[in-house]
Amino acid sequence: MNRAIEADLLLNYNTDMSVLERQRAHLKYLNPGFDSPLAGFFSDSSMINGGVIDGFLGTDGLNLPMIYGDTTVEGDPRLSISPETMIGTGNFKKRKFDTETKDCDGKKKKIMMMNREDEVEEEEDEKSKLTEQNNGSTRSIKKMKNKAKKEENSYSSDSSKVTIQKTDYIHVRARRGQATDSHSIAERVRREKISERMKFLQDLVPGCDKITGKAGMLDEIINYVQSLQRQIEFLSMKLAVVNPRPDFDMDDIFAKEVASSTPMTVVPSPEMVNSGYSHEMVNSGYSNEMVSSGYLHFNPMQQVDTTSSDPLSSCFNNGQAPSMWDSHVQNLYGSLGV
Amino acid sequence: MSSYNMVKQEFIKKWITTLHILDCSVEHPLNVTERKNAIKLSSDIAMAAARSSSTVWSRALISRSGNKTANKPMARRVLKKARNRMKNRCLTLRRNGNFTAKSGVRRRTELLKRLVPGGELIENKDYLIRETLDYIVYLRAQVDVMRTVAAVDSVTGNLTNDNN
Repeated sequence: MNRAIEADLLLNYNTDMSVLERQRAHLKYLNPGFDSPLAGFFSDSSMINGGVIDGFLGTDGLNLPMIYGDTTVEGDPRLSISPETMIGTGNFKKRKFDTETKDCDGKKKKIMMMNREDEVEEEEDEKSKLTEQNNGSTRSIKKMKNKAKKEENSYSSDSSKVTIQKTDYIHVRARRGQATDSHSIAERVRREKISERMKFLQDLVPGCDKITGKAGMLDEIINYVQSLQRQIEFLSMKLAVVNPRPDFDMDDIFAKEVASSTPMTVVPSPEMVNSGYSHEMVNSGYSNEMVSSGYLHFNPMQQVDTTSSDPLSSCFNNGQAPSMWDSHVQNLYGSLGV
Repeated sequence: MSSYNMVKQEFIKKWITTLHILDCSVEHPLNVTERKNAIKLSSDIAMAAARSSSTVWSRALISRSGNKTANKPMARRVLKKARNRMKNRCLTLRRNGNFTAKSGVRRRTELLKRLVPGGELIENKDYLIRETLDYIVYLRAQVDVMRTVAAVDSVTGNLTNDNN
């Protein structure tokens, strides 16, 4: 899924802006999108808002000037990489420039990234897993960066042997074949957030397992929301047809809600309406019409149950506020062994 | 899933009170359409109220419902605050002009923004997705509750018809 998302990210990154504007916009996107683990890694001026801007659409640059200040974002990532982790940051800077110039068509990066290997948190473990996947996947996607890759490979294999020094910064060790860009890190953070959310989405929206790519996921979400809204329309029409008055369903709703958490279905309702017969809390419209006509016929059918429900009806005959009903009802139904 | 059940219970409570209040404030011979609208409106308000006002969609839904129920004093009372807050932002957004998007993700995001209440006010795509997911959860709760109520009602409706 990550693979496809990144492919999709690539494909959707076409804009009308010039290359440099795109780069700038991209950098602006990247830099504020950092989580706190990486906060120490960059200088403060580049973490402008800490607001999360997703890279879903690269063309939302219209909003950017309002949100961000106009600090020179470009210069910061290069300068803020702490020298302890890198051997020869001068070389690194040069390489970074190379990759940027090669990145001219504005495609989003960079497979290569640095990852922490030792530090703590589950997030990081997840991230590292994801980056492993991403590394494998995106390598197959990117074609234009072969030269840069080779350089970085050789370089990062050296740097991967550098031990992590624990200072104020959070140091990331470069993996073999990964970029050491700060851009890439930010990229990685953002993509992992996206993938986290995609996972949640897959749980929520049915049928999302096989869909890959942002457009497909959005389609699924849109269809699902539309179908839910249509269902609500339909159901409310159905309820309006069945019931003579809008406020019809006090008893039923409580009964059904309890019943849905316990395996009973229709049986509670006549009992509750029985109790409602003499009970002032019940809606007058419902009890008058339904009880007088239909539910009297329930009584002979439900003799066995009504006898056991006498404690229930006596309970309901007390003037309980509706807000207490559900807890009471649940307790009672639980005690009945339902 | 117990949290989902809690969502449903919250929704039920609010829905009943809203229906009650709506019913008291309206004269009774309502035709089907009016009843349906009342049900839908009350359930929307209940859904938004069950979700605290920390989400954009809940506030937007309340303000949107407020516009529709201008005649109903209760609704107006309840919704006044939220409505004023959201109304101005909506107006300024519309005035900024529409630029329709052609390419896939952009177009779909705009569609989604129209579907989710208050979505147009969200510029950040990240937040939009979050709001959408939250909204989906509450929509599902609403649908589930309405479905069970409708099922019960249909059963009891059948029984009364049979016995008549």
